[in-house]
Amino acid sequence: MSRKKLSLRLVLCAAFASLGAPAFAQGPTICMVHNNADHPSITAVAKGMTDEAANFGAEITFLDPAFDPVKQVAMIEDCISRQANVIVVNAVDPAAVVPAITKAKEAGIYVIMQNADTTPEGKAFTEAFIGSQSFDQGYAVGQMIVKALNGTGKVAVVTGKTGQTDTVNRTAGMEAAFKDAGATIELIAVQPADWSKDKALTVMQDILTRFPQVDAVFGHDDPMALGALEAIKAQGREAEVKVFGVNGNKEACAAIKSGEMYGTALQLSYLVGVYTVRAAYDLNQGRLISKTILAPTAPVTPDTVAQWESQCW
Amino acid sequence: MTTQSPEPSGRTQGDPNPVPPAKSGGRKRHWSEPLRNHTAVLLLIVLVIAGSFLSDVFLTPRNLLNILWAVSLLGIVALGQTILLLTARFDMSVAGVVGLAGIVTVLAQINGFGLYASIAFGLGAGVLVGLCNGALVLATGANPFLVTLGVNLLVYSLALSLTESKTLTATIPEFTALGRGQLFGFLHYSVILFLTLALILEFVLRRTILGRTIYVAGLNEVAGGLSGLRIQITKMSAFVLCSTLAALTGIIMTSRTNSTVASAGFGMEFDSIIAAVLGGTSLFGGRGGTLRTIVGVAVLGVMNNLLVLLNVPSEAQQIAKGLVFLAVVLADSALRRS
Repeated sequence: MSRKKLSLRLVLCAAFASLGAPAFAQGPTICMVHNNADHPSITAVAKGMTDEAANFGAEITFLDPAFDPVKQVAMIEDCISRQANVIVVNAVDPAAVVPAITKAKEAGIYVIMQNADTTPEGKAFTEAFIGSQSFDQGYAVGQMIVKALNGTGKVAVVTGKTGQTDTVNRTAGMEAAFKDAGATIELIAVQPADWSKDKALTVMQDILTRFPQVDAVFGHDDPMALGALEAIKAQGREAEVKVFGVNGNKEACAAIKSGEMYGTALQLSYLVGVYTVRAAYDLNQGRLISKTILAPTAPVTPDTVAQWESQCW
Repeated sequence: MTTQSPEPSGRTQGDPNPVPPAKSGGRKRHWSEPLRNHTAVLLLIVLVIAGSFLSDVFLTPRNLLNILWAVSLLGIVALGQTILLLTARFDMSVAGVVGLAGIVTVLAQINGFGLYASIAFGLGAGVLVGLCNGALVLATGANPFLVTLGVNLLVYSLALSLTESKTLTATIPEFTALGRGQLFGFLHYSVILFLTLALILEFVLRRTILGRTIYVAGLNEVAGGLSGLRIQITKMSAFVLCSTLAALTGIIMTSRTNSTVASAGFGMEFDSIIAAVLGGTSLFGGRGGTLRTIVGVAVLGVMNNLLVLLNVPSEAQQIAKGLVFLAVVLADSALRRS
């Protein structure tokens, strides 16, 4: 199925949320409640899922709560009424989804968590977690920063939405990497830009105003890292501040190649999508699957960008 | 037609609510009245004084210019929202329009249209959504809040389908000048645009029949209609103007970040209403103006700037914003009752 058809379906879903898509194919019907549909990483996940669905005859419906935990719960409930075989959830809030996935389990529907997991108590109602763990991504960025700064310096973080799984874990992972390396890195600012490139630009602008010396900035995703880079360029401080991100989208890899950015933790999102469809198929066939299926994270730096460039999305 | 009927008399032009009489002694104004009438100015002064003590970089010209640049986009949306609020209506679809307009502009460029044509396409998208909002609200009499919220979803989905959920990049290099360019090397074009638009709109509101009709539409449209004012077309214009300004914002934002996202304007629907109401434009229509909105937007900008400069943890930032919002709404209700 082409992306265009999928997008069209997305529109139709918004309008006719209660009318289920009938399953003609042999494979599982998958209802995917992801988050922020046009974020490059989600787009890559969706592409992986759509491509692999063709191999397994799976039917996928994509729903986008756009960061709203309440809407996400309602959408999971829609998936339950559609009687999907498998519901895939990228949790906006780990705790908020628990009641809805409990309901799904009771209705005999398999739940797979993707990229953002639920709470430990919620995990009892899910079959598997598939994704790259945000903690590992933060850790990989932390290691790159330690190396780039030779273990000492002042670092600012431009975060995603406050309290979200990815936001909390990426900062925690970075700090753990600093600690494990015994680095003396000072975290001078941790400020939210809500996954928005434009907000990252204005927040970074203020951070640069506040601090005469910033050695590195970690944007919780590549669009925000690139937004921060715009602010740094506007103030002519490219030589001073090294920019890091997470994702590995094309613009970021190009910026690393041209020396404007210093590194990103490449998330192999396409694989996450592929693994998800395979797991859904296995579950639907009554097979056992692993509780945790991780897609690898690759540190992309000026040294390794040539090797990974083809995987940037 | 005369312009007398909508013209409120007396000192507070454009503030047709009568001044409450002082407790004693006839028509003497109470000392606190200017303060209550200009809460935002007071808040701005307090914030600036506090900021200058708390941070040694706050009062630098560069920081103040940065603040203006940061809020100029929200400001332009808030100007449109102000006009609509004056007619006692809202537009929640500005969030989606910001994203859509940027996407339409970039798509036009990708398809070979020139710089100005592509911008015209982006603005055109805003005009169309505005017409759609206006037609739905005026024809059905349904709640504008809910109608535009629904339109917002459709616009967002349309933006997603147009890009097939991808991030697009502008293809005309000169396009970035709109968002990043500066006059005399320090004043961003978007800031100039915001301030100029505020002045022009204030003039329209104060000095033209259209402007006066906008106030009347928010105060007593029946009376306005009976007096021969063209209320319906005025309300329609307000919807179109609001949506077009949101589209302009989306185009500037795209030029600033050089990439599109359908969710680019998320949050601006509420923030623009907060900014307008903070400035002193009433949620209930008929009271306020676009110059006031500059002050409201400036308060939000200074607040956001200080939260970062003082490195306030993000959890606490939400509390600060929530408190300001509540204070503004409560003050507006109190003013309305008085």
